[in-house]
Amino acid sequence: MDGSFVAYSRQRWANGAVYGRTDGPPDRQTDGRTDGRTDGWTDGGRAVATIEQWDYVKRGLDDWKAGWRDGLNYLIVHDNFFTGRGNMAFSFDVKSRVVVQTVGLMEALANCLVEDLLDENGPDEASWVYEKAWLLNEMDRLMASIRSSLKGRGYYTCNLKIVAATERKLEESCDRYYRRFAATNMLGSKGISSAKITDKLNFCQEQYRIWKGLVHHYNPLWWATDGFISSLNDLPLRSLEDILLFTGTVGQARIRRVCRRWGTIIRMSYISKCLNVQVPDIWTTVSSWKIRMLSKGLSVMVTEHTHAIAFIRPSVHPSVRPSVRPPVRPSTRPSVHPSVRPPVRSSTRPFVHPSVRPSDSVEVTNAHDISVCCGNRKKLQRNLEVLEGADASGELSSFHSKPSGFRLARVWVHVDVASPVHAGERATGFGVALLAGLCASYSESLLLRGFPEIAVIADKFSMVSTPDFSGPLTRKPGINDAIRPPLQ
Amino acid sequence: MAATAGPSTGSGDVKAAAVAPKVRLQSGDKEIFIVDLPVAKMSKVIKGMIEDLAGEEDPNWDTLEPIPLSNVSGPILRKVITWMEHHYKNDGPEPERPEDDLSHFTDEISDWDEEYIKVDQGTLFELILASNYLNIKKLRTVGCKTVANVLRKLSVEEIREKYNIENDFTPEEEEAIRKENEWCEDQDASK
Repeated sequence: MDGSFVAYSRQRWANGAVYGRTDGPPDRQTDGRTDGRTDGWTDGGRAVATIEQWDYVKRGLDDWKAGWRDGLNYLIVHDNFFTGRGNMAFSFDVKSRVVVQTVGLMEALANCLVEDLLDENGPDEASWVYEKAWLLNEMDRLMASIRSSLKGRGYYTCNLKIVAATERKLEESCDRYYRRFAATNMLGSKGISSAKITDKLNFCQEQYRIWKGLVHHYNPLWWATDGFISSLNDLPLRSLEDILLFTGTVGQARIRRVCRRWGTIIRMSYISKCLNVQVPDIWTTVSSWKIRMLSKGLSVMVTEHTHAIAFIRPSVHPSVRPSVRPPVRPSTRPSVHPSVRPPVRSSTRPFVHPSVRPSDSVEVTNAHDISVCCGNRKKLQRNLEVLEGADASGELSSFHSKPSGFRLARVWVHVDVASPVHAGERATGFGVALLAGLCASYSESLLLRGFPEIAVIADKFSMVSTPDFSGPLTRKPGINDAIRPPLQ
Repeated sequence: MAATAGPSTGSGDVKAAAVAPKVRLQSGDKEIFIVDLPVAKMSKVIKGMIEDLAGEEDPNWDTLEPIPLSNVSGPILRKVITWMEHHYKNDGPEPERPEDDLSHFTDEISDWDEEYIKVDQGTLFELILASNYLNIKKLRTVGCKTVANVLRKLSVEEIREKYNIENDFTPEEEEAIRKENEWCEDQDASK
């Protein structure tokens, strides 16, 4: 197994230098609102947040930038992707290898049904999702540009066709919503007010038009059996996924050669289904069997599906157990005592959202584990003090090790940012998209720096990137082993 | 088709069976199908529509307009209804399963389903689409497993040709995957 991994990694990464572009579209300063849909860059990209938001984020991130560059080995981004599907996390190894898995970006959106939003949360919450939809769409464009710039070098996975599938799912959702209430109206149900239904429907259609950016056009009705199926890829993603997985272990390993999309589907399905772990449960449950399952999850995959998942390269091998506590560099020495643990939240609501007020500050607790969270400083300090006491009682002693499923021997950052974190029972995936963009220019990974437009925006706000780092990506054998010394 | 012929069900369905209500479903090409209410409820989409229509009071099902299922053509809807009636009579309503339930991976296709699904490729895809739209998980599983069984027997090149899939791998990438796959390619070749 290890041999396969190493061979694959070498094969994919050797000399796979990808240079971050700095000649992207000019920065677009918005009027302070987040509505960048209509007045953003044309085609090349759009502003992803307001100046104030970026400035706020920049100030926060500057604090741990040194840690990122000098002592940080892993960035683990947790988000509630695939709430009901067991997806776990995104992991970025920022030193020498990056695993960027983006198949869920649009899928998460597609799982947010309009009627669920309206029924459960009202129009305000629905508008959040369309904000997110817009951002995710932008992120997907960036992913596409990265992919094209890679030209086969580097390890990057992105199912670009998911965009079309998402559009169709949204159309299907609108279609179902329309028909559901149109039928109700037609039949004169006494239970629901026609005016209310019409309002909802109009809102839905208007939001969809905004999201599509096609104000003059509305024809979202997807006819499930109307079109000719010219390719197996025309089937809905859910059905295609089932078909591919039903082929069995040997079949999956073989048919992933058919096209990129199939390979991505199989890989992501393994991650989400084989682990069978739901992220929200991890955050709200302590010592549940699912946490144990997660901690062993990748190992289970290795032992039970050795050959089939040889192409799935987890950023950190789960069997890694730190034997030596790594030294904390002076540049990364925290202002808070290292024993301080970040707050444990009983809900899955996020800490950070780009819309937070600039007056808010980012707290950095840089220790063996670094937690970046956002909020009122005094309030956070109180929380930390409380949690320090709780930690002393052993309740949270291994909190950080559990969500990620393994303990890291190195400095790492745990970021919990996502809002809205869910829509009904579905996760939104906002945080992953945001972090991927924000962290690009901080990374010494040339691949991550390949987020060109985002990097440009970041640089505009004095987020010093690493232009002098242009060496080839290399990977030393045993990088994921605890015995590997910290990178100098 | 009579609802009373079905197996005993939950209290709500027992009540429905006692009065033997029937609903009318209208396909995309305006064909009307009269279906027992519990049978129709095997589709979660139809079930949702019915619950919306019913509200808090039981409506007069005989006077209601047919439920429009415009996304499904008449022939396909007829075939889907046949499947639902058979499985309602023999298996009862599909039990609620958790989202992460993976039992459908291990469930075998019954002989009846195997015979039922012996259709041309176009119809098979239509059935998968319809079951996906109507949210009938079991039928979708049957269709997907059938396609998967075909995939197992074909080589990668044959799959691309049969299902009109473009090979978007670079030669280097394909070669890399092929090397990783040597173990299963050998196994495949030995068949």
